[in-house]
Amino acid sequence: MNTPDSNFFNPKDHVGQKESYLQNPTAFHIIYIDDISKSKITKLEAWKGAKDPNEVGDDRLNNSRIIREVNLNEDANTPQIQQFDQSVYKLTLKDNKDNYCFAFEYNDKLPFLRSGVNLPIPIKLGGKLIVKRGTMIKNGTLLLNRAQCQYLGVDESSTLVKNLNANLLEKSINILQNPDL
Amino acid sequence: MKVLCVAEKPSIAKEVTNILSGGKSVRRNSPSKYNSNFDFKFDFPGHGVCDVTMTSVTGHINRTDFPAQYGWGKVPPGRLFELPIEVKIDKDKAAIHRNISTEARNSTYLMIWTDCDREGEAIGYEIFEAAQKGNRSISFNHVWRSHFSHLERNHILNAARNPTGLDMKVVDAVNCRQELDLRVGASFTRLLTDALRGQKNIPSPVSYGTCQFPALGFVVDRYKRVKSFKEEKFWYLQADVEKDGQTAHFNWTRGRFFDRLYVITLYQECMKNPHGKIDSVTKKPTSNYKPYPLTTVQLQKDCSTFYKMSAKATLDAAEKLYTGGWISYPRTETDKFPRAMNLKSIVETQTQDSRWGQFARELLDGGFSQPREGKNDDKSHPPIHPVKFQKLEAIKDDNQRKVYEYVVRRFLACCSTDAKGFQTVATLVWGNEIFKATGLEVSELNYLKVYTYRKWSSSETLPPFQQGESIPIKFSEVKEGKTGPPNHMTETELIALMDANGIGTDATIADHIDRIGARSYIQKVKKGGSEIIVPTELGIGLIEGFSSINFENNISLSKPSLRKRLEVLLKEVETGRRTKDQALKENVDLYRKAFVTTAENQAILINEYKKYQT
Repeated sequence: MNTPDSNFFNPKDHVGQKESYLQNPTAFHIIYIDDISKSKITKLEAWKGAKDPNEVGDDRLNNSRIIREVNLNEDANTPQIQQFDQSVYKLTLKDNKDNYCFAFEYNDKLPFLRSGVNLPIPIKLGGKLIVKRGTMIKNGTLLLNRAQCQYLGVDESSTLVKNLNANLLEKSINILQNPDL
Repeated sequence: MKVLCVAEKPSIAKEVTNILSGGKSVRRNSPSKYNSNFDFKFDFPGHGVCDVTMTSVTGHINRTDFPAQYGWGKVPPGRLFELPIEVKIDKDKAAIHRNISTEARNSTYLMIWTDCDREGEAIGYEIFEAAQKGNRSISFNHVWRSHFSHLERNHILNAARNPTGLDMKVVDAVNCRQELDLRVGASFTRLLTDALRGQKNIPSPVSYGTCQFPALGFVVDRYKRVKSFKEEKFWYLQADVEKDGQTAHFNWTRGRFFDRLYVITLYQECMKNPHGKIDSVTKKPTSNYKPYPLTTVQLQKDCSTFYKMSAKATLDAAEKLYTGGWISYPRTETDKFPRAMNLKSIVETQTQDSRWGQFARELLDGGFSQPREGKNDDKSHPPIHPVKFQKLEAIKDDNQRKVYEYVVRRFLACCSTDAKGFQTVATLVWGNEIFKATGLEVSELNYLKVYTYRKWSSSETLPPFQQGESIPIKFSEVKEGKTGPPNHMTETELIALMDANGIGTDATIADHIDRIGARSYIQKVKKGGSEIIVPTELGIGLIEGFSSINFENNISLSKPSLRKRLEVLLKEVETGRRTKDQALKENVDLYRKAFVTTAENQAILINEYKKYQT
């Protein structure tokens, strides 16, 4: 039976291929989410801030943030550029046969990663994602477009979801502080 | 009828006397060597010609302190949050106090000529109390408060003729701040000194200040971030095209990414196309905006950047220029000129200068434009501006000369027009990626002719691209870059940070920085032609000690939140939204809790401190 849950994607099968396309719709679980537009140190501070607001400069007493840096070259002439969303997410995915792969956001932004949750990562880990047939594969990674993704959310009762999200703050800080990673 | 006038400094008393008396005054010695008395006559509206005595104080006359029985070692430091305090005449100012009391004896009215800021208002009230001591019949209703922001003749005459009463809400705010600073400073200083006695590098006393520690906290935070910085690689795309023999560099609009594989993947997609397309070419007028009117903090930041002057040196020089009558009151948060102010008459005074006189004349010949308006208005002083013309050569002191020149150029720039030019932007679409190239053509310098501190010049012009044209990609690559460490702290940035976080006021920021230097918590170090601020081992140890303690509600003694809260409350006392007692109670409670936690966790503080001593 050809269902997303029975299909799989092993990046090793695509090594050496310049470009190919996903042959069948495939179900994945999202194992990790990384914003590749931000440096490690920026992400580390965001995680530390989520863990202990005082450490990086939240000011709960006055309901504001402590300003830790001032750009002195910025004078009245700095144009007021509308801050648009520069983030690009790289997902670590796992299919139902425990194959792991990377997937990048490609050409457009995936709306389910922009739900406005105020954590350093935008959604809970472990959610289920169906990647549709015809998605481009390049260098062994999936290039995701919004039309080809169907996000089904997290199953709170699953062990995977519980394990992935347990102590997420500490785990993320450890990973980002590890110089070998 | 006699009017006793009292200024905040001897130099102001002398200047105001010169103006009000028309140069006809008689000087008398007073019990205080530096605070002379001047007698003259002046016509006050509604009171006719009056006898006037003008004298001065030198800052506050009173001192807030704990009575001797609560001295060091006599009570547990924690009790200093509730024990009574006393306001006494500062013994160094006894002669000044006596002079005011004596001169008040046969005066009917008291006119306050202190600086028009928070402290000035409080000093005004101290002067009133001193006068009352000599003459009970001087009631609060007999106090005239003059409002002035510079020493130009008409402005001072106007201030003399239109006084108001003292604003007791402002006096309350100052008293509130004084009491809190005393209670918090004394209790924490005693606690820290006792706890850390015998440790390495420890001075005695280990002084704690509600502004100084957050300021030190910024210095330590930055130092640690610079020290722990590790560079990270990032990647981005670049594309060059050639037209009519001219090469144009296009920059990727997506910026940069910390994932090489991703950028290479996008590059591979681009490389499928040997050509890109010029999607649009726009040429639009652009402006380089003239600066906002000058505030104290901006003056300090700019003098630090342009002349490498310390904040305190800048403010000292500006103070001297103000008491000399050359510039307006230099402690102001206001960055918009009152609409009614006659700015052209100030421009007029500068037309005789050999450097910027021509520019000033051009402003009067039609080039004048109303200054931009910032969002800040402290309601007491206009932005800093020149008052009288002075030849630079005649100003002997280097710092004063620099500050005067800066104030004048900034003012003339504010009254001029924005610089104008044209910006050309070409957009290149290559595969799925978008790139942009820009060219700038400056057409009118305007304010930049006098504001020589800022540069804006034309760039190389772009080749004549046509919208829609297909163009071969001459050269392209995935470029690699590295992140750079944060900048070391400089005095300029520290001022800006304190200002942005509400630590201290424009008038006091420079003093706080100076004080943490004097206490050896920070040091200034020369680095690559500029001066940076780094913490000493003592400074790091103290901040890390405090940071290691878990305070309730995420408050922190080394971060600005508590002090900022105080500044907010003081503003509310000033505007009458809160009483002095309410504000004081809220703040004392917050600090008292933090004190208890600190006292309970002394061992942690000491251990953490030790880690940073070599």
